[in-house]
Amino acid sequence: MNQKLTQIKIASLWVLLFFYGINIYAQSTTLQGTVVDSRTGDPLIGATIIVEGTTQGALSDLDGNFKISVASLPVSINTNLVGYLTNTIVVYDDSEPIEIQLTEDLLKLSEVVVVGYGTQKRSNLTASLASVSADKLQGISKNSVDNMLEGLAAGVMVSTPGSQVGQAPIINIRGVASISSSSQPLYVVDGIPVNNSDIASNTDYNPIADINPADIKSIDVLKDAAATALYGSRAAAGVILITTNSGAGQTKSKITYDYNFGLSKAINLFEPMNAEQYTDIKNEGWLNNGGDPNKLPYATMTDKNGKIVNTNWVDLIFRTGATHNHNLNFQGSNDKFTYYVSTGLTKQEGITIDASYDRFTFRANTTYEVNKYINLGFNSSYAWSKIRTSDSSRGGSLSSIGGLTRLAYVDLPNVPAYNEDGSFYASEVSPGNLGKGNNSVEVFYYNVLAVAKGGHYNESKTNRILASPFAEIKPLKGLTLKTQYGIDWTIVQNESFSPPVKGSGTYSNGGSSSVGTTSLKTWTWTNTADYKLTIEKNNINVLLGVEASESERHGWTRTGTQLSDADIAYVEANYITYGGSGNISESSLFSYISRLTYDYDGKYLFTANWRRDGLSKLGKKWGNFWGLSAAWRISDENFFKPLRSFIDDFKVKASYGIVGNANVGWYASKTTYGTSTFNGQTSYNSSGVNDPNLGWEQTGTTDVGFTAALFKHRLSVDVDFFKSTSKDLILDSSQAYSTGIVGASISTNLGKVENKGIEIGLNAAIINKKRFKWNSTFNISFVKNKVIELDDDIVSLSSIKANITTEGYSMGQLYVYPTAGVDPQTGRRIAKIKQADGSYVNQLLIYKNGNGGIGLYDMDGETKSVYSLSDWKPEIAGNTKPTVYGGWNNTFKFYGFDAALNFHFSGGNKVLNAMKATLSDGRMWSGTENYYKKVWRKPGDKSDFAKTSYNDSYSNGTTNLNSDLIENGTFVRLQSASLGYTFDTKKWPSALGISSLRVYAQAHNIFTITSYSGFDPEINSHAESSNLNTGIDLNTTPLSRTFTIGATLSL
Amino acid sequence: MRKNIYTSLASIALAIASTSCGDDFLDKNPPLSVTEDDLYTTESGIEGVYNGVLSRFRSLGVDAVIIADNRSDDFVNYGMNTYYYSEVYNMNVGAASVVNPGYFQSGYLAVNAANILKENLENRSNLPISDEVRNEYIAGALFIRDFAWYYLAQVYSQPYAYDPNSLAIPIHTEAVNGPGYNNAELWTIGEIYDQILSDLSDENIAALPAYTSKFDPTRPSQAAALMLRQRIHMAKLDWNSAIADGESISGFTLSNSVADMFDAPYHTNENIFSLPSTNTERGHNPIFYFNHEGGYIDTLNTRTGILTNPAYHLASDSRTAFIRQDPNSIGIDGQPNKDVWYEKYDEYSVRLEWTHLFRYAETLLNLAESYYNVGNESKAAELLNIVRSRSVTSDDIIDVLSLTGDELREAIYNERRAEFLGEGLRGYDISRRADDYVYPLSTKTGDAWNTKVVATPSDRSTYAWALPEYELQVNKLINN
Repeated sequence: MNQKLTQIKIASLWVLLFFYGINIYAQSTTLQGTVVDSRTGDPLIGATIIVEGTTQGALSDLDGNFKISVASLPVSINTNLVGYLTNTIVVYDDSEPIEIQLTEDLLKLSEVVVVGYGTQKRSNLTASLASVSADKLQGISKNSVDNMLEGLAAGVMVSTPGSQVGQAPIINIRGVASISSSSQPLYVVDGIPVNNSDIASNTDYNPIADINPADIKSIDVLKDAAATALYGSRAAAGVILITTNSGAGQTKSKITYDYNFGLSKAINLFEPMNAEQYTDIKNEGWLNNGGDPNKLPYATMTDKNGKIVNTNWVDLIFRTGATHNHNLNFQGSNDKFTYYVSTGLTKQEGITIDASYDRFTFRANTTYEVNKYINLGFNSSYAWSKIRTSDSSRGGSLSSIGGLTRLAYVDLPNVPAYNEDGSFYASEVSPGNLGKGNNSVEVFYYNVLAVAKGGHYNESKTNRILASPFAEIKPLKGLTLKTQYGIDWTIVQNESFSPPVKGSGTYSNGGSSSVGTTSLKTWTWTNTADYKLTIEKNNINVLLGVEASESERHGWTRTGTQLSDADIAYVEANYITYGGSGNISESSLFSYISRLTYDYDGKYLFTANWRRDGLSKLGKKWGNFWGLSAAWRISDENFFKPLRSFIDDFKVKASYGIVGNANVGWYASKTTYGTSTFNGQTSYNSSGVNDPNLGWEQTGTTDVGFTAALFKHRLSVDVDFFKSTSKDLILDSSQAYSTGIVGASISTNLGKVENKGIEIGLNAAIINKKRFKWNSTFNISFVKNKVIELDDDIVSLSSIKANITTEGYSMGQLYVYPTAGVDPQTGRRIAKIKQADGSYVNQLLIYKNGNGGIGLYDMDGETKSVYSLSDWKPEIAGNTKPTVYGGWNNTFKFYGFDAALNFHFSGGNKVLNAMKATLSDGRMWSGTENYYKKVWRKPGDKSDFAKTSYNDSYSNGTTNLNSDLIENGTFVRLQSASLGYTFDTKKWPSALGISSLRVYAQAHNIFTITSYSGFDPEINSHAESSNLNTGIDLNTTPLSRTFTIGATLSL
Repeated sequence: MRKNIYTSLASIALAIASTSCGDDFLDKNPPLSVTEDDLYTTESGIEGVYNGVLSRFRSLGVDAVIIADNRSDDFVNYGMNTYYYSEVYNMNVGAASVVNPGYFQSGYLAVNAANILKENLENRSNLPISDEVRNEYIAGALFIRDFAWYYLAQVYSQPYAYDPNSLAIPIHTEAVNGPGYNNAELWTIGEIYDQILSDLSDENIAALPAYTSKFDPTRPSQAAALMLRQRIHMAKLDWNSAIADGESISGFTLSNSVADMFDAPYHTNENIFSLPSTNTERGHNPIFYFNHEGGYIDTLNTRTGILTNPAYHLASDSRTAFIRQDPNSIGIDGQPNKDVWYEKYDEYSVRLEWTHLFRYAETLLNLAESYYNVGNESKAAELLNIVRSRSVTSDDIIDVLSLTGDELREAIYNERRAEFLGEGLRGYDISRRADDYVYPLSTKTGDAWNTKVVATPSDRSTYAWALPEYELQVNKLINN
């Protein structure tokens, strides 16, 4: 407590130190002049001319002329105009009118950007930050702002892991700075940190999608520690600041309505085998295994018209989904009051027949200036969304039997989808499964249509309120006291239902349901004092503050098993048995915040941040986080003058800081027992062992870079080198099963990871004619991730074990069994057996059903190998984290037309095409036509697919995923393209009241250049655990392509 | 101006003070969980921990039954699904097999939970329970860890009868409460059996509940510990000790029929140690594998299994009521395949049937086998007859009491198979005797189905499971 008091005293002193008044000069002489555009020479209207160091100012008139009184000469005059760079000249002489030339700010260098707990002028930044303004997002319609960032900001990797409705993208800012904790960035909406973890238990709910992209004014991504340190313990993965619209500056009230309609469709779907191909290849496997030709196990069947039954399940499951988006907003302001009120409605059909996403949003942002000292504001939003899908197994497990994409490909094509009476075709022996038709082998999969259309569903309905009232008090010039209280409250209603429908997997349990609610409520109260002071050319800004935050999560689930009456099939119906569970979690965070920025004449810039955080989740609760940064505008130095003819602005910067990661378990440092019952009596079981001294994960980041503006501000270049080392990473230290420690692991601070790289951003106003403009930005980042210290290798994904994280490599390396293709002579998969000296011996992998099963054989295919299967061991087989990524974004304006083209690229990583393995399996399930056409059939055939053999799951790689499945993940994608036309409404009768009208068409995911043979190289079947589990493409819903048309009307 | 300064300073101070932070603001404890210290301060807390140990063991025990039947020659696993024990059935459980880590781990969860309870009871003072209860719980914890070691050793080692020095599993005799215990040496099956016998000393057994009319078979008891000890003695071919333990078990009687134990309340005076199923536990139940509704997994071996022997398929044998015949069923070879399921567990939708690990019929048959092995054939035949005549009440085609020599031994062996079909004893009997595992083929010579040896004790790679890959990686003291 004493320590805290001391801190408060120090804080008060700091504030006192900076309380000084400002002198006011008297006037004496008058200057006259004109403001013109430096390029065209046209006079500029409405520019503000201010005498430096005074409040004395004037506005330029229609002809660009102005008059201003000054006390004495010489005097410095600053001229500002929206869209132009600030100009400062020194006037020595009032004998003739002065001409002030303003240069158009094509690259928005003078724009104000949002930084932690405040704003700063872009040109004065010492930190590394990427801004995306609303106009860059104009050509992109997505449900969620995180999706829209794809390819737009240097250093920010956004990747789409699949296209389940509601699914969030994976975002990694400058690599992956944690192993076990979330490496998703912190999102701050209008100053309030918001929840971004999926708290829905049964769908892919993306909390960021609760923020309607139509309400977003700008996005600022804080990247280096100098920028993020003010968010201290939560900043290791970067911070994304979202600013929503306001009515400020909109003196005339405006109503805007936007509607668009889109169609989405899965792309790059594989053609499945047809009935005859399926029957043929499966019987070939039977014969290859020495099966009796008179007892072929697979056979087609015919329908009542005598036609061969041939079901294309993929066609039956995938569809073209329609999306409707409505957005309506009112905004305006007067001298006291600003308002922005909006509402949005989204209705989206998924690309599979079962899936839908609906969202309703409401937002009201208002400010009220009580008097010149007090300013009040209230930002609030409400979002309701409903995600519905019958796909209950979205993450990719190898033999997943619930995933619709999986089922659509593995279901047998030689059986029908429906019985003649319209019911789903199901097994007679095990009515939950698909029927086997004329095949003699029972099917272990469900009839995918029975799952998608039989009444199965998983649904989550979310209600979310984000509200933050704030008050700003300006008791003195330069001093702003601000208090802001924010609440982020989400209530998710989860509902799952499995009706007792034949063929859908849940027939035999008589129907089951699960309903529950999760509530997550966080309040954050921030109090800051911000003092700005200018003494001659010294600009000083001090920020001090405290922040407290508390989160509470409650959840419960009730399950019902076996409907009392199978005909009354509802979640709410009566069940024979009920079960349930619940959970409560609470956490709190308390912080002290401070920042000092100082610059001398915009030439020498310096910023220091310090934050101290205490977090209830940890054993060692308190941590100090800080950042120091400095920049030098070399272009303002005299010696730089010779270069000024083509380099307008040149600034070098450097920073270092330490930030943390608070994304740890709620009670990560507590060892507890959970309660249950045994034989009806209370029982206590260990919930695992936790480290009572668990402390902060810390990331130290160095950033060195420069920004330059060239050719009359037509081209800007940003280059940043960064290196961050994250230490004390909270890791599950592997405990042997034989210890009997629950979970076989203990979380403790022991890992160390390094991310380093270069970011280059170019921004060019390539063509800037009055009627034709072409603006182009290009960004590329090279990032290398490396694990420096680790207690034990982490082999992840218990069922398939295809990723390993180990010292000296980037995280989530592929970890598979080494193979050397298919032997053209025998058609068998070649397994590589590693020798003690590091060399490999090739052996054939042969599966003999009913005759020893899997075994290794010599290359003749006959002799049993001296090696046993356990001599064949998995090994590190490729980096899964992209090492280079970026985007190229172009906007065009031509008369009333506007267009945008956004490319996105990524590469340097490997992808394991595990779907290829499982769709060429020797067991009863189906696969792709490509497999049928290319499988090895006779000596000399060169094929990726080994000779088929009855029930063989090894040579294709389903069991023991192998290195032949690894492909290059590099791609270039035309992410989005749009074309719009804005009508010249000024020429329209004013009685119509239309102030603007724009019509547009957009397309997303237009084409991809890649050598990858699966659905898409971006697919990540384990998006929910993407730090360690990447590069695996397995049974995931493919990516989609969308075409949208729409119109925006303002009155 | 000055006034403004004071006002602002006051408001800053107020703001900081009012959001100020006491240590209790940062102190959050999970409301639905309790800490170890909390638990050992109340009688109900300690009882709850004991229940927790039993519930950990329950997971293992149920799996142990399923695994033994999947290994045995009386069932056929038709599912080609590795999650449903196809590798267990095919005797090729490798380090990476999917069923392997779960079974291994559930064994050690039980062992460590028992060790932690035991040490807390031994080391804490001022326990709120009597010494009697304390000693019972300690002995119960020892019984649970011993039973867990026993089950693990059955699959991870070659049989004691083949090689007492066969390496089995890593052993921790002390509780593991934190990091640093990854490296544990493998003990041989002989060392493990010795440890079990030393744990289950007469003194410790005496601390457990004796038989009473209100006997609770879900809790470790004197009789349960004696049964485990008897099995160990039999494995070590120490027949006299096995007889002594068996004869020490008293008070229990055979129920009227085997089926009685599989109908509510799922236990009778015959049950010595059973794993209960209530709403909480019933999700884990052998019924899923052996019931026809479970999805076609484990069916009876109708070619060479015990029920193909007419003496064990008598109409007058009440146990044949467990056979579920389905005239519509087709085997994997396309042939009609009747007598498919053996449904001791037949309440598929509620799944409340208990899993019986020791029942008095086994005591009697263990005694029969032991008496036979010490040459007391008449006693052996008499004990065998008690068990058989409970189910075969008339028209028996074997005259049990007249059997001698190999015929008697065969009858004892067979009766064990028939009596405990679907209860997991057969697989452990094969291993105890170091017999081969012999499975039917789908071809015939004459009228007899051909068979194949799928595992022989000398071939460790088929007879014993490999230790799970993860254990091999993390535990550096295992040289594989």
